[in-house]
Amino acid sequence: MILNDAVRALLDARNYAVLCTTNPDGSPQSSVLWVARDGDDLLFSTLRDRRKELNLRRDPRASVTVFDLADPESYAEIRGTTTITEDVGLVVGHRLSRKYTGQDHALPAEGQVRVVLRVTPTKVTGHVA
Amino acid sequence: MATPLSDTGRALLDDKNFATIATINPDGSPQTSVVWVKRDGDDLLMSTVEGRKKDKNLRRDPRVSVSVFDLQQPYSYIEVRGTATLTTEGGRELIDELSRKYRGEDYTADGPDAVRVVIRLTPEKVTGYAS
Repeated sequence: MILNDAVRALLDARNYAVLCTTNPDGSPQSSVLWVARDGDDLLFSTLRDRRKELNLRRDPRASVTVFDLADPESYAEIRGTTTITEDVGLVVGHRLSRKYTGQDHALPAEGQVRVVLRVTPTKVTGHVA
Repeated sequence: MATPLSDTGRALLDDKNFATIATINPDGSPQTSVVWVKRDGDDLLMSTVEGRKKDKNLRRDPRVSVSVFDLQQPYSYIEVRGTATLTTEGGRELIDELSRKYRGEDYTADGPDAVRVVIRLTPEKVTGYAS
């Protein structure tokens, strides 16, 4: 088990994650996202061809920071490798949306494909790690 | 080319919201950590200690991405990208200012040998729902 109980609790609560990827020129790019946990993996939902999805297809290495909204100095950085799959049936999209809003996720617009970013941790650091 | 912040972006930075700073490791992978942040005009000021991972990363590659969201309303966020400059001048003053902003008191947790570094980020690109 790579994630300890405190990190798992951070991810299971309605805290927001910052997912960082690398741009084609090697510079960092980050965005604020919903996150869910599947065992030790982190799950995110995004759209095909968004900047972060393009970046992760080119270089799957990601860094995720999540902190406790009520106590931001309690945080973890989780580094890992990302696999990208189509979110068939919006299973992960709905799961995330229900966790944060209590409602189903909006359906993708015509021509949009919602995908799951699954980050498998390789290293965990931070004040709760 | 400096990019101005919006009023909402400035308010996000002036409140006691925490920032996530992303740097690049020697192997090209991203690294993130949670930091205090304050604003000087449209520049973002953050503090680190000489020898820390982000200090070493930024000396090698000063390109940085900083995300800040409203703790009360996380959908309101900005990502600020740019090239950081690092100085030790004013490093002690900055960590005290940041500590007073977030904790209401000077910072006392550094060891006697810690050399405080000022990370100054002039925004080149600003995105997000509050940008």
